[in-house]
This record gives sequence, structure tokens and C-alpha cells, in this order.
Amino acid sequence: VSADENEPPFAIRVEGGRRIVTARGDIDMATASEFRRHVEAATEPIVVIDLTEVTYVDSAGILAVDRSLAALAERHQQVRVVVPPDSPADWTFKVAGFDPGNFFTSVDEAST
Amino acid sequence: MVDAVEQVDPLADQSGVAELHAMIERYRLLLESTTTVLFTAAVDGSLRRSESWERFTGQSASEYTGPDFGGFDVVHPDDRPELERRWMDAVSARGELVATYRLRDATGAYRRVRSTAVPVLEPDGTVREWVGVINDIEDDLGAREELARQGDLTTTITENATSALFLMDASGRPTYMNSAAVEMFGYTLDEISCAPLHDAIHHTRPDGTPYPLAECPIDRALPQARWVEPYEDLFVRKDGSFVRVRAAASPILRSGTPIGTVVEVQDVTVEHGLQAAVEESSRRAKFLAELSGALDERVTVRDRAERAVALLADRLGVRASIHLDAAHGIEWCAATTPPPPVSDHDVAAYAGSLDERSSGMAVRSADGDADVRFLSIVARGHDLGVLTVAIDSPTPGGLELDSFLEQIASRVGLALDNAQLFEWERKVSHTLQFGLLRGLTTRIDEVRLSYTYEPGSDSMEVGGDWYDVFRLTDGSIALVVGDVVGHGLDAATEMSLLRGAVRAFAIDAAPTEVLRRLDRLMSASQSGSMTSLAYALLDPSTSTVRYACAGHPPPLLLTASGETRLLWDGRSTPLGSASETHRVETEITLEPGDTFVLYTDGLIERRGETIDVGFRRLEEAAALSGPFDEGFARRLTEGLRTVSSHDDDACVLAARIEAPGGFVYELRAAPAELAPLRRQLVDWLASIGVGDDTSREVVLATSEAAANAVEHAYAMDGKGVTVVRAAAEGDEVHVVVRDHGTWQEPELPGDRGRGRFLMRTVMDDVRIEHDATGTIVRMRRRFARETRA
Repeated sequence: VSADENEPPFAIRVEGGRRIVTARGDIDMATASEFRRHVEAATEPIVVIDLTEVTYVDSAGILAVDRSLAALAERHQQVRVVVPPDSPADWTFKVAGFDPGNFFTSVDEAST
Repeated sequence: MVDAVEQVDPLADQSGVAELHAMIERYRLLLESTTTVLFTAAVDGSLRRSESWERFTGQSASEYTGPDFGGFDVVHPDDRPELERRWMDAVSARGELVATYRLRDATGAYRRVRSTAVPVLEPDGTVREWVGVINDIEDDLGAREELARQGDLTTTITENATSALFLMDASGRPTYMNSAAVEMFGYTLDEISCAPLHDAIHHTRPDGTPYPLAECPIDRALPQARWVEPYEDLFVRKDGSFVRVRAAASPILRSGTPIGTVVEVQDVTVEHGLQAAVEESSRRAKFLAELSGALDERVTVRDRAERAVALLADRLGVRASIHLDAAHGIEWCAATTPPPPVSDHDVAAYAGSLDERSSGMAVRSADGDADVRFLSIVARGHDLGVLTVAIDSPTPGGLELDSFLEQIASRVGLALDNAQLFEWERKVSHTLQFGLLRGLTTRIDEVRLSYTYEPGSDSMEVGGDWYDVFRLTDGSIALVVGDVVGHGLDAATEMSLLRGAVRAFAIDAAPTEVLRRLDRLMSASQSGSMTSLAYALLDPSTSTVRYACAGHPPPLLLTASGETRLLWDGRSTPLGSASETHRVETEITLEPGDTFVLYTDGLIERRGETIDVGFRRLEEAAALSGPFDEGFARRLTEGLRTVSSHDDDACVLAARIEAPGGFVYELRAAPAELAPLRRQLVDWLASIGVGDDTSREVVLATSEAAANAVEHAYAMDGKGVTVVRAAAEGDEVHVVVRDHGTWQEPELPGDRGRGRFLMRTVMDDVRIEHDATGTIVRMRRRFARETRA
């Protein structure tokens, strides 16, 4: 369940004007602010947030995602959130009824 | 008259011989006219011719005159030897002779006569001749009747005397015994007249040794010619039995010479019987006292009844039985071995007839020799049963037995009635107490409980010990052990009142406040009894126990490794103390596997021991009481109370926060603490067979609750401790998240609300309580147990 301890929780790469933020491990109270920092630091017009490898999201994680989306939208940046079906993030979002309408099932889908 | 012969000295005037002869002639005529026979005899005593002799006896002169002393031929043969002897003696001694004898008259019949003869002396003192008169007294009817009458009177007196009378001759042989003597000793005179009386009735001492005649006090009466004053002795009957007598003896004297003895013997058995009756009477009074005392020593009705019949058998030698409630079908019966010869039916029939009888006793002669009495056992106006007594041998002293038996029945009745009252009270007390002590749970959430109550073994009374366990709304568990001083119904009643009061006062109150409220209650109700109380609040979410002991022995802490510690803090005076009391409490934290034990002093106190020894033994016994389960308290009690008997009752209440199978996690108020909590919880949930889907829901909800504590109770100060506990209860997982922080509403109201929303979404039940001590979140989630591969 847990992420590889040696892997950094966040990976940032830029491909063709898109910033892809890959989160790993748990997005909870402990990591939510770091998550937001990495996401909101983006200046690219398109930001892909990959939650495929996220192992756990709690209400703090939802809040972080929600706030980040709001911040980028304010700056007219397009945000795509990758949430594979039945992933831990998907499960939490469904439980919480959190669906901002810009979810994708894979990075590839989000890149098209 | 005849004896009053004028005493004349015929020789007083020797010169007047003619005068003398004339005088003699006058006397002769006088005598002839007044007497039967007038005679003279020669110096040798031989009779001379006498007309009157011949006329009376019919003898001719040749037959009675002369040296042949033919006159004696007409004297009765039985009287003749003595008369001859006395006559010859008189002749040789020249003395007068007065004699009474039977003399044959001319018709051949013997007639009783009295004769008087005197010598007529010459001036030189020699006898010239004898003169005499003989008077027929046979015809003196008046005299004869008088004699007979006197004889009858003597007979009447002697024969009707209650005393036995014996006459003994000079040789000690009995010559007479009256009918009382015959009756008393069983002998007739013929059987014992041939030997000294002593040999017949006084030959043996009570110890069986011979009683020599020489030592017999009676026997001294004769030779010493003196009275033997009445004295008590034991004489022997013909059948060999002894008779207790008072005996006296007096010599029969003739002319100062003892010729025999009169022995008077009184049977003093009756007298001694009276004395025995007095002794019996006092023996009975003693028995009644003993009976009452002995019955008091027993407690139950049955024990008392059995003791009563045993005493009756032992002391009075009777067979006895006591049937309880005989009128309504016999409940049970205590009886001697063997029992009286009656059936239960007989007893029931007697009991059933009570209404028709005025007397409380019935007598029945049983088939055997026994005399059977039925007695009602009545006390305080109600009928308890029947006492049956079979008397196989007559009672000593011949005392009236019935009143004695009635007294016995009365004592027995009172003792049994007291025991019944006592048993009733005890039953009520037990009902009160066991009703209160029964039915407590052995588990409240993650807290496992073990308790026991054991009444004192020596006393049949109920004590005032109690224990109680209940949960307060904040999730903490109140543990109560109390001890009302005293026994019986009062203590049990007081105990039940206090138990209820503790429950009522415990709501929303710290231990010291509970004690203060109890103080006020007891002061207001002016309850006289001292009560000690240990009150503890166990908070399972923090594993803390806050407790206060009011005059109560210190709680015992037993660790998982078997170490023990007495918790001497948090102590103050007993409840109901007269003075204003400062109440104190203290708190400890239980480590996993710790057991917290409350108990009453009956568990540790033992006669003749200091309390320190008791405490030491308690610690040793607790360490040896084995794994914590429902039987822990019972094993601890048994380990301490097997050695000797105990007056006091004892109870034990032990609590332990469940460790095996349960989940306990403590985290500091820092966000990074949440992930490890989740990982541990996931593992634990998997270990109890909770499936992945359910598992992540429980983990999510738990993590959200913990996060709230970290963020809002402790403001992420990194120090505040939040305890997460989880346990499987049947098909549910119970989770408790407890903090002791101060809740601060989030600046943005929606934020944390999302967390609670998640908790409520994934869990079946979520309760969140805030109080002065912090926040407690309780959640439940059903799950389908999965079998692990």
C-alpha cells in the first residue's frame, strides 16, 4: 500500500508546454501543503496532476486538490487530474462526492 | 387390794400372846372371807393342811402335805418350775414371795392366781412357819378385759406404725416384728428369729463388704443399756437390696437389767425421694438453661432442631423428634437415633387436631413400653411444628413430667422461631445483595472485567460489600467497590441505597465530587453506618484511571509481567465521617496488560494478623492469579481465603483494558503521525479478517478523527497525545479516538466538516463528544469477516 520510501513523493516534469505533477504516497494533512506548492508553482498553460500512484487521499488531500484547481483556474491555466478508476484517490473522491469535472483516467488520455 | 396386806410385825408385843392369837384369828377370818386359799407351810416350805386349798384344788390332804410338795402337782406345768424355784429360794432366803401362776382347780381347769407368802419368824429370826394367801384372779373379768384391750392397743399401735419395729431378746434374736417390718424387709419373723437380727438385715455394707456385728451401733444398745439415738443407715432387704433407713434402738430393762432391745426402723427412701425430686427439679432448670444456650449457638432452624433432639437424648435419655410445619404437610424432621416410635402420619394427625384441643400436649402409650408425648411447638402465637418425646424409662424423683416437657417445647419454639426470623432476614438480605451484584457485564467496549463476591464463612449474615460497574456518557467506565460496616438486613439495605446513589452522582462528576455528594447524602440522611468506598473512573481511550478512596484499602495494580503495586494515593476518610472531609483523587495511566483491582478489606484481613501481612499476601496472590479472564477475581479470592475462616464478606472488582486482539495506538499532535497510524491500523484490520474495502473505510474514518484531534484539539503542537483504540465486537469494528485537547473551531468552517462527513459516510455509527477533558469519537462499522488464506 505504501509508496516506496526512497521515491520522492512528487515528481515534476515538463513535456511540450505541459507540466506534469506526479504525486506518490499519501496525500493527507502531512503532505497536502507540499502538494499544493508543487501544483500551484506551475506556470505552464496546461497542468496535469497525476494521482495514479497516490496510495491514500483524505479530506485534507481533497481540500488540497480542490484549492489547487481553484488557484490555477483563477490564473486561466488548464488543469487535468489523472484519477484511474478504483485507485485510492478515485475511491476517496467518490466517497466524498468530489468531482470537479476535469478527471482523466490516464496520463495518456490527459495528454491528448 | 390383795397386795395391800397390812404390814404388821406379829412379834411386836411378845407379852400379849393371847392378844396375838386373837389378832391372827381375826386376820385368818378376814383373809378367808376375802381370799380364795389360805395356807400355811412348814419351815421347809411344805404345805400344811388347808381347808380352802382342798376346796379349791380338790386335793386331799395326803396329796399336798408333807415333804413331797404335792401342792405343786396342781400348778400348771409351765409355771411350776419357776414357782418351785422361787418358792425354794424364798424359803431358804426367808423372804416373801409374790407370784402369779396358773393353778388347777377341782374341776381340772387352770386358773390364774396370785399368791403371796410370808415367813412367820421366831424371836431369834428363824422361821417358825409360812403363811400365805392365794387369790383367784381368773374371774376378775374387768382386769382381763383391760389387759386384752391394752394388748389390742399395743398391737394396733405397733401394727399400724409406719416404722418397722423389732424386739430382740438378750441374744439379739428377733422375737417380734410388726407388719411394717415384714413389709419393709420381706422377712417373716419365723425366717429370722433363729439368728441375731443384725445377720438378717444389717449384714452387708453398700460396698458389698460384710458388716460385723461388733461394729453395729444397734447392738450396743443391749449390753450398754443405753439408747441409740436415731441415725441413718443402710439396711438390707431379704432380696438383697438396700433400704435407706433411720434407725433407733432402746434397751428393755427389768429391774435395771437389760433383757432385750426395741429397734425402730424408718424407711427414709421417700424422704430422700423428696430430696431427689428437688435435685431433679434443679437438674431440669439447668437443662432448660443449657438447652436455650446450646440452641443460641446454632443459626439455622434445622441446626437448632437437630441440636435440641440431640440434647434431649443425651441429657434426658429420651427419644425425640421435631417435625416442622407439621400441620401443613411435614416440611422436614429432626430426630434422634432411634427415633420415637411414631410415624409422620401420627404427628400430622396430632398437629391437625390442634384446633380442637385446648391443651398443647397429647399422650399416647405406644405399642412398646415407651410413653409417647406430642407437644405443639408454639412461639409468638404461631404454630411451628410438633415435638415428639418417647420416654422409655420413668423419670427420677417421680416429678410431674408434662410441665417440664411443655417448658422444653416452649424453649425450643422460641429458639426455632428466632432462627426462622433470622433466616428470613438473611434471605431478604441475600436477595438484596445478590440481586444487586448479579448480571454485570464482563466487558464494556475494550475494558474487560472480572468480579466476585464471597460471603463470610463464619457468619450466616449478609455483609454490606458491593461492587458496581457502569459506563458514563463520556465513555469512561466507573468502577465502584464499597463496604457498609455491619451485617444483615440493615447493611444490605444501606448498601443498595448507596449503590444507587453512586450511580446517580457519577454522572458528569470527578471521583472527588462523587465522594462529596455521597458525604452530603449521608449527612442529610443521618445514616449511622460508616462506609468505605473506592471509586475509579477508567478512561479506555487514554488508559487512564482516576480514583479516590474514602477509607478504603488502596487499589492494586498488577502489570502484565506480574509486578504489583498498591496505589496509596487519592485517599481520604470514610463516607459518613462526622467531620467535614477534604476529598482527594489521583490518576494513573495503565500500560498495556495492566490490571486495576479494587477490593474490600474482607479479602485481606485475617484474625490475628497485621494488615501489612494481608497486603503482602494480596500482592503475592494477585501475581499468581493467572491470565486475566472472567475467573480472575474468583481465583484471587480463593487464593486468599482458603487458609482460614472469615467473618467478613469480601468482594473483588478487576479491570483491564483489552490488549490481546485489540488495537491501541498513540500519536502526537503532528500531521506526520497519521500515516504510521493508518499503516498499523490496516495491518490490525487485516489480522482480524476485515476485507480491503471495509478496511480502507475504517482507516479513512479513523485517520480523519485523529487528524481532527491533531489539528483542532492540539493545534498540531507536536506534543498532545491522541489515543486510537479499535476492537472487534462480533461483526463490528469499534473505534475510539480520544484526545485531551481543547477543541478549537476551524477558521474555515467547511474544512473539518469534510472530515466528519467522510467519517459518517463510511462508518455505520459515529458519535463525537466534547467535554472539559477533551473529545472522544466513537465509531462502529460492521464487517464481513474474511477467512485469511
